[in-house]
Amino acid sequence: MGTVDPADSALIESTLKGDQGAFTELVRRYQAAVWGTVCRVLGRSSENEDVVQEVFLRAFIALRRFDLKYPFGPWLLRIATNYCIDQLRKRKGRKIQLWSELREYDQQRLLRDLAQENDSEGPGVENAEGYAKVAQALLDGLNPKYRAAFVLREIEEKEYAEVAGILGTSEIAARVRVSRARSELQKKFRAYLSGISGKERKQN
Amino acid sequence: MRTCNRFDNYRDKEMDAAQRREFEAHRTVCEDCRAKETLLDNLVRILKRESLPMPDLAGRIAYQAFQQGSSWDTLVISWLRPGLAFAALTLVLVLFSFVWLLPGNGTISAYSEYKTLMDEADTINLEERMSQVETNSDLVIWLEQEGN
Repeated sequence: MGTVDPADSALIESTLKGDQGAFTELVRRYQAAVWGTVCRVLGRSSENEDVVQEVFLRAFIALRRFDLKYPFGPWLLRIATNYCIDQLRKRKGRKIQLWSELREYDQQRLLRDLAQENDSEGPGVENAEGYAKVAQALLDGLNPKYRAAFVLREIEEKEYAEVAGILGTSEIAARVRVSRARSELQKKFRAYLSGISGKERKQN
Repeated sequence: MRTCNRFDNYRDKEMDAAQRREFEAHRTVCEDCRAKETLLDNLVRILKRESLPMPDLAGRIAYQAFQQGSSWDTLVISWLRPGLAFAALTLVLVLFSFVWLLPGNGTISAYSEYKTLMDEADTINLEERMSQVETNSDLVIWLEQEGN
């Protein structure tokens, strides 16, 4: 679960005494981690800066209740993940929006590329934006809790114990969420592919 | 089918060498497992290589936090855990009820009620007795009986 960093504890104590500089330093230490988690769980969005800010403001308000016996990072990421899950629940229409932004030809090509075994770089980088949209559209189809667990485990490469700590659940529940996310992604991906094949059969 | 169920152990690299060999042999004949692995590999690579330029928000966030943190309601919320807040609210309600039911308040309330009941009883009796008065002479007799 990580260890307590004495520098974090010192910054927290100074913040609680009213030292704004200490809190600035604390934010600077963790903003990359929070930013990464927010962007990967929520996808690209112009609102991500506001989300990161809100996460730190919530942490600041709750800082007096934080127990210095525990590491600060997982506690902060827990606040971030819970907030992202709430945001995902409110954004039900986004999946359709992302998907409709791709022209039909792109959808077919991108989806087919995703089904191909590739070299270590993965599908071509020339249409990185398009692939990112397809990937986000697939992730958007997941239950927010599964999506958060999947991102923490697969993208951020965290151990299951850490994923469980951040999600505030047991390790078994974290494993189940990741496993379901993987299966759901495959199911949705197949549904998209079969939708395309169906259209092609009709055209022929 | 049982081997397919071990996909997560394989993906999470939680197999020993023999189990891994067994699963890899299975993968060569199982289209489902192969397709799932390819999709996940590609998705993860795409999501990882997405460049996420991060702005430096530290100064702005800290400024806002301290501006917001100086308001009285934020300070109260920051000190109280949800459980403590509930306990504090319950305590206030109990104290309020206790003050409301103080002996002084109780006596005044009971006395007012007693007086109202007695006044009502008097009125009822008066009406009953007055109902027997029909003439002026009855009224004179009634007044004498009532001591007026």
